[in-house]
Amino acid sequence: MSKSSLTGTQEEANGGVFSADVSAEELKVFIEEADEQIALLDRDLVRLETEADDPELIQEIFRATHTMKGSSAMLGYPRMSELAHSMESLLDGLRSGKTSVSAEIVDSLLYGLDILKVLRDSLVSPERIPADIGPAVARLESAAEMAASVGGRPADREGTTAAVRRPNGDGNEKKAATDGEQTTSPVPDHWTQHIPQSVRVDVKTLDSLMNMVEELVIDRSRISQINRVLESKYAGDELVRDLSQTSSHVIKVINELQQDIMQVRMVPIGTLFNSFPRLVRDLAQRQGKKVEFTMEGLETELDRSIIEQIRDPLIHLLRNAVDHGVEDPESRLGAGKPPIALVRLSAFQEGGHIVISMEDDGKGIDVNAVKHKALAKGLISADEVARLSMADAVNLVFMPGFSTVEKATDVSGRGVGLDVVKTNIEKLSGSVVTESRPGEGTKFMIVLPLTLAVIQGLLVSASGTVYVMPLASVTETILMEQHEILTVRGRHVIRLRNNVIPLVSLDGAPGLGLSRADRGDKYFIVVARDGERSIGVVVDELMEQQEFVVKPLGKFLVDIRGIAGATILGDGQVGLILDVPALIKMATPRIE
Amino acid sequence: MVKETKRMTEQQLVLFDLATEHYAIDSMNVREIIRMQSITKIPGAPASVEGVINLRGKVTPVMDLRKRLGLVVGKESKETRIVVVEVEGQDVGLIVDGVSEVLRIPVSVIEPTSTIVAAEEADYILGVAKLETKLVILLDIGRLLVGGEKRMPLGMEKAGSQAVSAAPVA
Repeated sequence: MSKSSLTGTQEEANGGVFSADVSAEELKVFIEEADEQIALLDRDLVRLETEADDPELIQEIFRATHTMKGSSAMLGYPRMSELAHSMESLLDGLRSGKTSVSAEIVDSLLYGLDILKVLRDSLVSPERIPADIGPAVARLESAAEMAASVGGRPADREGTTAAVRRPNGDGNEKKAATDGEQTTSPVPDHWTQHIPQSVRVDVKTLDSLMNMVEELVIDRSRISQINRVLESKYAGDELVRDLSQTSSHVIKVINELQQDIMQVRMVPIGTLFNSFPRLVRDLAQRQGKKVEFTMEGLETELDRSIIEQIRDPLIHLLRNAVDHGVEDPESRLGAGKPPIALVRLSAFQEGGHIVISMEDDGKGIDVNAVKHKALAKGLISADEVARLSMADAVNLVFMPGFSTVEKATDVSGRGVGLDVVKTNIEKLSGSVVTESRPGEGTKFMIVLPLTLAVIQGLLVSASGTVYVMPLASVTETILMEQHEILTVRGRHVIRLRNNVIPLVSLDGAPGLGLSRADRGDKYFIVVARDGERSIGVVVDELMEQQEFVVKPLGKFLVDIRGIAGATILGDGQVGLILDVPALIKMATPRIE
Repeated sequence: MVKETKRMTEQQLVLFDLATEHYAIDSMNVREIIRMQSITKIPGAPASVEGVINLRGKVTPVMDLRKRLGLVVGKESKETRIVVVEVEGQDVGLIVDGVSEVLRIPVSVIEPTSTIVAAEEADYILGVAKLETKLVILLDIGRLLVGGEKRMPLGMEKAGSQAVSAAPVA
């Protein structure tokens, strides 16, 4: 089935022995491992361009290809192992100092990696035709030959090879480093080395554990509710006291269980970021731009489901930065800047939130152009433009229908604007703002909750329905008299310490159902804030404050404005979680 | 082989009433039939969406099939039921005026719709089954729900099952 081997590796011969049949389980483990190595290569090969003299980096890349080679040979995938072998041979030259890193070497390695990815995909979906490794192998070999004829810096390199061995390095590594020859052992070395301290868990299992814990959390509220009733009804009863003690212990255990399962769902954001250097590199290359891309805070942990959903918005912003943000080298030199542009992506935790910032030192956003465009497109009135502060004006770029580039390019654009980024981030209960200085650069700041699964909320009721206000956005609750409620152009507002705050009601009717004043002439108002703007939500009743498990409304009920999700209440009823940013938008039309 | 032919010639249906008419959906789509329960209304939802219920810990949308089909919405009675169907992996409850029976009928008694219903209805009406005592309108519930209400927006596709390490990677 395989083409004749170009390099005649041993795996080819051994492959047949092992490949008798690969069980689904083995394949799964292999794919998971391959994905890890591919992600690592994606990140490190790009770093190789700028950090060519880092022996540890070369060693890491070498080890990843070596692992790929070994495990693919073990399962009988000769194309994969042969290709990995070619990459490894080229890398071995680098490692031993016989050759030094060149653009062609990096390009050929990246090309090889792309083919590896295709091969990996064809294992998962057998209907795909596996890629031909011929051209990649040939390119890798010619890169090796070319480099060898140019010659490396042997004296220089030999000194560093020793440093490659980590102090706690394993025996096989040393062997590989001292042998001078390429190791072609068909059995991956590390498989026999140690029992890992972590286990792989299928995400489905995690989700089902999470669901069970969620149900326990709902029961927890119910138990404490019943407990309170019992205690007041049968004060002093011994059985009730016993029950109280037991239930408070159960509640404590549920709390711990919940915390642990949340922790398990946390994934370092590096798993997402790792594919970005390659993306930025390719984009910059295609645009003829020079970009130095740095990442920080890769270890910052974030809930798995957020990581999955933040991917597209981040890619969009990165593309935006490379495509529209930074200039080509000539323009940069013309503007008195260094020819290589900087793009910096960083993540860190701040209180109960994760902040992701993306900065570039490009040409910045022209605030006046933004204003004119918003005006020309009728997104905003001349009045509103005049009132906007500089900071607010920059954020007009997030308005639906706004796009600063006339012509959609093949990189970003395509009719999808920053408004989609904003919407997607808001779906995650996050927010995004931008700051920009003309000529100096642009910065996007994304603030996300640590987890989406549980929120602290205030329970309120209005028109018979129970709602949850996310506590993070509640600033205060106030009681207002009828005469304190004013109208501005037909809209109800209140004055609160010199601020005019628009009111919204939750009965779904346009305007306020303010006629139902059955509490004398008083209204409960929950003041909620998103960034700079506040609204007052008129409710009938303020209930308790507790933790709520967030559940989606399901795909048939997306885009219900003002509702972010649902939760199961202690009495088994469904409560609706309010989407404060959306409510604010609804209350303050046309101003984003 | 015998089984195969049987499936070809017969269809198992869940029959229910809406206003004065009789409707049916393929039993393959039906997960369960439950009694009416208290429904949390959602402000701003499409008119035919009654709200959401708690179905064993899952928040499940409930739609009034009478409103969706433009029929008279009568009072809730002892017979009123919620038929829970699965469409595209999502459970949806449908309010009906009563479930009459589960029936296996030969495909041959089903009349194609072209001659009876309007073109736009033909999209979600599969046919009319001529039973001895009544005519039963066969609904394609997937088309009715997915085609009629808001379609699933882009960007909602779930990523395939991946694995994460259960312990932080040291």
